[in-house]
Amino acid sequence: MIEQAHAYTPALGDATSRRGEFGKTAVWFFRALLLIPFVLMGPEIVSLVLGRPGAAANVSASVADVLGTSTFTIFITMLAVTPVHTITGWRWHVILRRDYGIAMFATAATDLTLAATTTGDTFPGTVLTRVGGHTFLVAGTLSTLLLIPLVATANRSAQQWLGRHWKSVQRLTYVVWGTVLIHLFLLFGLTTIFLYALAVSAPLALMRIPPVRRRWDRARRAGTHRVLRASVAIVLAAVFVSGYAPLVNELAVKGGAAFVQHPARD
Amino acid sequence: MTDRAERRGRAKQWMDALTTVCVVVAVALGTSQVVKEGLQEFVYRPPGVGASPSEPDANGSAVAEQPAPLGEIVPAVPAPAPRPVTRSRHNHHGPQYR
Repeated sequence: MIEQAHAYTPALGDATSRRGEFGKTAVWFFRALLLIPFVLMGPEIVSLVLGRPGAAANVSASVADVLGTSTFTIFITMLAVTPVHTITGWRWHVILRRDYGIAMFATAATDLTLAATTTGDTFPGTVLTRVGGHTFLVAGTLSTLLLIPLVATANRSAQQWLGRHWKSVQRLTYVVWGTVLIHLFLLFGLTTIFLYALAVSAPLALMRIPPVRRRWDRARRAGTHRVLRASVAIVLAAVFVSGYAPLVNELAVKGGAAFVQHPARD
Repeated sequence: MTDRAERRGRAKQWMDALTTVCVVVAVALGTSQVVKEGLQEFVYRPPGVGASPSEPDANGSAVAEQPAPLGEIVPAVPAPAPRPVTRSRHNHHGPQYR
């Protein structure tokens, strides 16, 4: 028996370490994706800093399409971390929740700063007009400002500082979720991007409903209702992808145009 | 223990205050713009923003979706002769007579 145990230990250890290696590689892959919005906007921002002619107009044309879509895509990916854990039981990706939250703030803050300085052609007036002159701009600015307390407490020392209150501060994420959806509704109405946003939000919201989450967790741990769980997971994933894929496509098209400094002007 | 709970309560109050400041800044920003520009302008979505179609050019078609010039499709038709202008002999107050 002891010999058998010894014989199994190295094999088990190998599998665990392989899983750990895979998790580490996957985490770094997902972290690397967070650079995409800055890479896509990089050439236009460099041109703007160097004061090249037409650079401000290019940034003005691209900023909402590239950084706005990126911010929402990062936000949704961050929100997907917990449901993926509930459905699969994986833990390797949980660290990404914090990383994606911080990256979302960085992208949104860059978006707001560039919008405030370059979109005078679309929103004539002062800096205040460019960040709050219309309903959709106020909703977007509010969403970005509400990320400040979230990012400020997205670390271990803040967790210790706040103790049991930390979770209630982090629940502000749901308020941001609401204000982002309002921002998109005011911009697009019941069309394209807003409908995609609803499609990606619906499965993530469903998996957060406490009774659903608890029952799924219990069934997964007990290994019961496998077929039902697999079927529901496939449906949820399909709904999610139906909204997520067009958003990524939009980012690829508009981001590619921004990268070569030929943004589509609306 | 009570001291720690008190400290954490104060930390929560700090974070609530920060959140309130963020909300107040955004609300003040929106309110100042409503007062300055008016409600109509505040709720208006400019052309080319979000789902609003792009601004039409002088011919009334969107800049992004310009149709092919008619001259490339339809052969040129001779222009009709201009109608002779009948000038009133009794009214010579037009700018052309000054």
